[in-house]
Amino acid sequence: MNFIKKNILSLIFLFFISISYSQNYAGDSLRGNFTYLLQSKPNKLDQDFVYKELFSLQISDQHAFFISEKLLEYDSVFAKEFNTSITKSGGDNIIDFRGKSFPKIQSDFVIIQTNDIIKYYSYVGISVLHYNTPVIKNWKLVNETQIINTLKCKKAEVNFKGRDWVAWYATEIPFPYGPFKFSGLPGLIVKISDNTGDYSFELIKSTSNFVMKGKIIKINKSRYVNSTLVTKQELKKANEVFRENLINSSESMGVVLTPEQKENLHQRKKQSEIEKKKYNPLELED
Amino acid sequence: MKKITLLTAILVTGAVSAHTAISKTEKAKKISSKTIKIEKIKSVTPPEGTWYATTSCGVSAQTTQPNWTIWQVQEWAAAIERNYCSGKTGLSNSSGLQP
Repeated sequence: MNFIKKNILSLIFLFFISISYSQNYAGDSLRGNFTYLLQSKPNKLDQDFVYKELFSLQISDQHAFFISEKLLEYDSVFAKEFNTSITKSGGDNIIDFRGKSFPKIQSDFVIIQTNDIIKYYSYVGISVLHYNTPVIKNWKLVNETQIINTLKCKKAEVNFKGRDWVAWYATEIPFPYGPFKFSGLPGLIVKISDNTGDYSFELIKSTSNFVMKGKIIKINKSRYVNSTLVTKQELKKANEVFRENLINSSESMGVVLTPEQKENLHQRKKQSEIEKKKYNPLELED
Repeated sequence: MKKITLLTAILVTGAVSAHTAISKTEKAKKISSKTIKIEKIKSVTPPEGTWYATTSCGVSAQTTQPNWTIWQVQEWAAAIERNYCSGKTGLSNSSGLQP
């Protein structure tokens, strides 16, 4: 009898876990799904280093979500591993990720574009913060066309956050969105690069309407719901403060660090100071 | 500056909520095992008790939150994994899109 009760309890437990997993994702219908390749030179002192990463632009009726494909993969893997990593011992619950492998992520933010505003969301500690920026309104539309990946594209130019950009957009894909915070053109941005050659995004994949039928936006909602609105400077500062105090805040998160782990965090802190000096961000101005 | 302080307070408060007084655990342990069994059977919410987590890079954490949903537990475990084992390299090796 005890065996049956135990199994029923386990089933109830797994049922709730599976419900929690299914609640992770936004339910907006998918209207467009595009993949961009970012190529960047984020290191001022090493111009030969080219960073490459794929980003997904998922479009619903009201919004466009811009997110790293690695981050999507990470969230999916994490949710699955969480479900399989829980065991019970007496009255306690044990989550053990040892031996598990999670995708390495560099770009752990989500950008949500609408017709009026761009929202940038990022975790700081266990809280989600976001800041808003207005949609770019000062595009200069240029009377030039080019075929890019079989799409007839028109040219537009803008100065954005200290860099001069050239964008190519396709009016035959009538979404006013694009990669990162670039939006507000009368068609999807197919390619955009800055005049220094440090940053470029190019559309490399799109999903056909037939495949998208019945599909929904699949982004972990916890990355943007219940977030606190701050300014860009505040988000940046909060992130720095949290990183610098990671050892002190560990106790409040219930984390117990070994001396070796503390030392690793100290080293990471020192390294981040050096990194700041070498950093060549996309946005040169606030 | 005030806003930064406020922000830090929000972050710390969030983090503190994950931490539970050990005394609660001790009190809980005093309850007879029989009572615990009955509560478990009646419970429709995720199991109560202390949560122990070990990240993929070996960092250990523990919390006792009787009122947490499984979703909140997942968030807590995700935060620890993210903050201590992300394997993020420095900014100059990143995408360059972070502020």
